[in-house]
Amino acid sequence: MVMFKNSAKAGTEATVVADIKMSTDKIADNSTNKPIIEVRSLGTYFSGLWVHKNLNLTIYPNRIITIIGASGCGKTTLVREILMLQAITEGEILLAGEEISKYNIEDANTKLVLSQVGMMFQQGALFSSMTIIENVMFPLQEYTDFSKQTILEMAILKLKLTGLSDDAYFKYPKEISPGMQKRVALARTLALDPKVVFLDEPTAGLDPNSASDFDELISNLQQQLGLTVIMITHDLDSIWSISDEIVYLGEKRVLFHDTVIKAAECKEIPELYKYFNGPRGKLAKMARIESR
Amino acid sequence: MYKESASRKLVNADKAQIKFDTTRNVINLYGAWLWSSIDEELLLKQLNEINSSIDQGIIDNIGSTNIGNNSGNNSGISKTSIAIDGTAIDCADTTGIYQIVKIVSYLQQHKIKLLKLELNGQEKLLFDRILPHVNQIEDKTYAPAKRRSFFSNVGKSLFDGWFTILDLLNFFGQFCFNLVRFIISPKHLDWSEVVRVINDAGVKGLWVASLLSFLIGITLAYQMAPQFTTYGANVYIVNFLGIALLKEVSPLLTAVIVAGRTGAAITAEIGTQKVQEEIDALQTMGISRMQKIVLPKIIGVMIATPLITAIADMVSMLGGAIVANGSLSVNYELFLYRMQTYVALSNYACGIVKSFVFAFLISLAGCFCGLNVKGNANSIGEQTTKSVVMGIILIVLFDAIFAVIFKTMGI
Repeated sequence: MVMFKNSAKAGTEATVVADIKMSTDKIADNSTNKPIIEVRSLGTYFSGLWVHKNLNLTIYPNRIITIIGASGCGKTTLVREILMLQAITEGEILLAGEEISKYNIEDANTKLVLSQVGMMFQQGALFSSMTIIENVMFPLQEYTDFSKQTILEMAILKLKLTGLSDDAYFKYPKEISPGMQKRVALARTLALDPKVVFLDEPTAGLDPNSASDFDELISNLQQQLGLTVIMITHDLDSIWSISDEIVYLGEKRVLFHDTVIKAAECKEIPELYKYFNGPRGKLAKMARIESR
Repeated sequence: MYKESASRKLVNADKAQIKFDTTRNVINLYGAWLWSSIDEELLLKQLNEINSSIDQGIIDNIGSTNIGNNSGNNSGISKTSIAIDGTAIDCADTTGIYQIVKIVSYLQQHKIKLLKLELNGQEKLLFDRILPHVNQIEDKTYAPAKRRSFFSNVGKSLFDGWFTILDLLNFFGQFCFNLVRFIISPKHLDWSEVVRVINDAGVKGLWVASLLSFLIGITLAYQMAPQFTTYGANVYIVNFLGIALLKEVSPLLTAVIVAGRTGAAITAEIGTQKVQEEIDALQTMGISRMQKIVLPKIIGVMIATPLITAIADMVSMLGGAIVANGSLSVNYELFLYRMQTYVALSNYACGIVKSFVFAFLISLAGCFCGLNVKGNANSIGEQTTKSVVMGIILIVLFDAIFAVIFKTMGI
């Protein structure tokens, strides 16, 4: 069913809506202290070695958290475990207060739990057989009973939110630039309005201009949609410009979890200090201070 | 399945609802305005009810105050003005906010003036963020990619086929050139790769080829048995099987199995290497891809396939012999004797020679398609299919050519 006959008409009519006065007398207080993700004494064992051992992590909503650590320290593994893409050996993971290891990945209820989280993969992982718009429509079609027109408009809305220009909607993923692919991937991730969004190396492979634009986009969307963003990145510029918290993985567990500024000053962990105060770290820090 | 579970979740969350407060002229919004708890049809139904009740109210009003003269010309002006109160909403996501925008536009469409839209802080932020984008949504409808006409399709596939043949010939030429280079200096060949291919194509494919040949031997003998008994020519089963199996069926069957297993595997493997730019890396080091990738595979398959064919020959004859013994009363001793006397060795030799050529064709097609992979993972699947089809077509084509050659040679 379609509420109005064609959306072009709706577009012009909805423009009027902007003039309507809105009252802001009641502002909802969302800063509850309930953690959205809790990882308790997590252990992961595969191919003869412990990747994580006794790892504890508590993440509160509505902020941007960056997971850092040396290559191969299990950052991506941790994220994959939270997303139920990989089995854990011991411990437990709670997503919005629910223990996830009891769910079977094929169970329909699992899908609902998973619809609360979204993941943007490093390479975008767009479905190559679908156009851009179909990629974004896909999760909505799978989960909801909305009319095709509504889903189409919702998908366009999501693509607009991520700042993708109109002419790309009906192209295939391979026909657009990597920067645009990342935007589409983000739009698809946001299709079902997840509470938590994971980003794996969001700025990798982008030129500096696109990368800083993308950082800005993430930061804006986080604020406007009230998301909890957890990103894995090695890009010190993004860490300095948009991160609220740093989670440092090392020695198979979380060694440090606090704000960026504190992370940069933490001398107790030499590796972490080097991370932020090495030649690259210093440059990024200086750039950040300058821009402020 | 997901839709079912989504609707199951609706039981927990309150559905998005619209209620009309006639005394205050306010539309109240209730419930959770999330994608999982919005029923578009329910909302439209409730909106239509509100609209008709407003219409009803106007008519009643007109009736009571008795101003009947301007009932027809209210097309340009709004019927009534109302407010929307969204402060009772539990929570909302972008889908919910979008639906609220739709309600507003519905009201405008039905000439109902909206005085005020009240939302809570979080929802208001979302509304403000989304509204400018909603205004930009143009009338986009599905525009499926333009289809080519029938004739254009036929023409394209014809030309594609022709160019594929030319490319394959070109590839064959390159291969021959590199083969000569290899013969001049054979030390550059990666023998460990050759052994790996022999293992994959030969040892691991042996049981499938043997099993199928054995069954074909049994089937063929069993099907022909009544014909032979009718004429009392039971012993001729040996001559028949000797020619049919050794010369034709076993080599062909084995080649088809190798094309399906090894040809496809070669294409997928080379294709993956191509996608991961391994082959480009080789090129930059000045190492010929023919030398490093193609030659070991072709040599490996050409060693393995005739060996499997030889075993398939034996096993299929064994199957035939079992049936001959069981239902044609030709015992094993007689079977072996007739084979020695009446089945010429040339039949066997023909089969083995053919299998050499088949192996070459399969691996050539496999490597050719593998190197044709472009860019993405989709292409690997396409080329693998192509490789198997091309392999089997080439096998059957050359089988026919061999039949003519052998006939003229008098074998």
